[in-house]
Amino acid sequence: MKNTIRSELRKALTNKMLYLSIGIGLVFFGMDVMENRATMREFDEIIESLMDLDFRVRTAHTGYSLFYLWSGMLPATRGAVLFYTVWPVLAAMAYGWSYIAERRSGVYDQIASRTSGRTYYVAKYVAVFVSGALAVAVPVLVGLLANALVVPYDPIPSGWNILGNKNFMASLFYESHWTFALVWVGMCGLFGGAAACLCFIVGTRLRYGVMVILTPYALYVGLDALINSLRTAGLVGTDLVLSPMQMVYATPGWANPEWFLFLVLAGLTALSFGLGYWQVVKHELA
Amino acid sequence: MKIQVKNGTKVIKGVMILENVELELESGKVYGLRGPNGGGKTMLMRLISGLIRATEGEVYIDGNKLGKDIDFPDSVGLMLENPAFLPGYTGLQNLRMLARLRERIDEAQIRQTITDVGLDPDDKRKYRKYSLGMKQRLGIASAIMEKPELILLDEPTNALDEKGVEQICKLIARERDRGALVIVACHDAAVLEALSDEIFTVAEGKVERKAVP
Repeated sequence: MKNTIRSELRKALTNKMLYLSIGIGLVFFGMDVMENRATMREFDEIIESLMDLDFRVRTAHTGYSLFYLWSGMLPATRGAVLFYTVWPVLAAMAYGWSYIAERRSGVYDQIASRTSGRTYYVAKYVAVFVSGALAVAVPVLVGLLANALVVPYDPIPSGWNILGNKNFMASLFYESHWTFALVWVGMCGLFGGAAACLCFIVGTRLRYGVMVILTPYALYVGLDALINSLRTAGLVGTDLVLSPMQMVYATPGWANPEWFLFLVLAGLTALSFGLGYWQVVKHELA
Repeated sequence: MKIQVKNGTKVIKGVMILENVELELESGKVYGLRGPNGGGKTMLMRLISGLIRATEGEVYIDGNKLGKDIDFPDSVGLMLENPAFLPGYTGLQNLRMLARLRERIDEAQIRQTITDVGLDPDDKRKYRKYSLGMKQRLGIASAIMEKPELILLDEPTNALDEKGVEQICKLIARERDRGALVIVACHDAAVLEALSDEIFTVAEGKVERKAVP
C-alpha cells in the first residue's frame, strides 16, 4: 500500500495538469492583487488630498486591512470572484481525471495486477485529494502573500464584527490575523481535495475526461441552486452557508462553526470514497 | 504453478463472452490461444489474471480461488490488448514506476529487460513518441521484467518486424524454460505453433483444445 501511494503521489505531483491548474489560479489572484493595488492607490490619493487640507487622517485607521480584503475572506475583486466561481474545476483538473484515464487506457491493469484494485483505488484517492488541495491552497496562499505587499496589515478591531462569534475560529481571527489566514488556507486546501475526489463518484461511466473534470463543478452548482431555492421557499434557515461552493471563503456575515465545516468535509469525502470504492468492488468494468 | 478454470462463464450486459470453460494449465509450458476477433481470447486472459470475475464457475491459482482467497495471482505479468503506459514518461520511467510497486527487482534488472526486448534504456523519448513496435516491446518488457510465474501476452508480435518477432519468440521460450506458465494469444498461426506446447481455439466463448504441435 505504501509503495502504491508513494507512486501515485509522485505521478500526481509531476503531472503538468497540476501546474496548469495552479497557474490558472495564480492568474486569477494576479488580477486580484492588481485590483487591490489600484484600490489602495486611489485611497492613497484621497489621503494625500485630505493631507493638503491639513486633516490629521494618517493616524486614524485606514479602513482597509489585508485581513478582510484578502480574497479568502471576501472575494470582492473580479479576479477573486473568477477563482471562487471555478475552483472546483481547477481542483478536479489537477489530477481528478487520472482514474478514468488509467482505467480506460489499461495502465490500471498493469498496476492493479501488481497490487490490487482496492489498493490502487485508495492510493489514487489520496493522490487526487492531495493534488486538488494543492490546486486550491497554493493560489490562495500566494494571493494572501501577494496582497500583503499592497494592502496594509492594519489589525481589525473586534468591534467591527467581520466574523460573527459562531463563525469558524472567530476568536482566532481577532487574536491572530495571520494564524487565522494560514489556517483558512489549509481549509481551502481540504475543500479543494474533497471537491477533486468527487470525480470518483462517476467511476468510469463517463466517456471523456473533461466530463469527469466538470463533475464536481456540476454537483456544486446544482447543490447551490437547490439550497438557494429551498432558502427562498423558507425551507432552510439563513444561519448556515449550506453550499460547499461558497464555504471555501470565510463567509463573513454568516455563521459556519468549526464542527459544521468539518462535518461537510467528512460527508463529501465519505460520499466520494464510498461510491467510488463500491464501484471498484462491485463493478469490475466500471 | 497450476491454474484450473472450472465451468468458467462470463456474461457482460446479457452477452455470453465465455461459456463453461474448462482448463488446466501448469508451469513450464507455453499455451497458445487462437480464434476469431471477439471470440473471447482476451476475456479468458482477463479472467485468469483476476482482472474480471467469472459470472459462474471458478478460477483456481495453486488451489486458491480467485476473487475469494486471492484478488490476483501473486506473481503475474501481463500485456493485454494494447500496451498501456503513462504517455509523459520514458520507457525506463514507466517500468521503474511499475517495479517500485512491489520492489522485487532493482534498476539493473529493469535496464537489462529493456535491452532484452531490443530497446535502449537510456532513450529519452517519452512513451507517446514511441512507434507501435517500440510500444509493443515495452509492453512485453513490463510483463516479463519481474520474472513472474504467470505471463499473459495478447498479440505480442503485433507491429513487430521479422527480427523483432524472432527476438520475442526467443524471450518467450526463455521464460518458459525458466519455469513460467505462459499464455499467448496470437493470430499468426505459424508463430503460435512454433511457440506453443499446447494450442486452444477460442471461438464464440467456447474453448477447445486443438493440437499439440
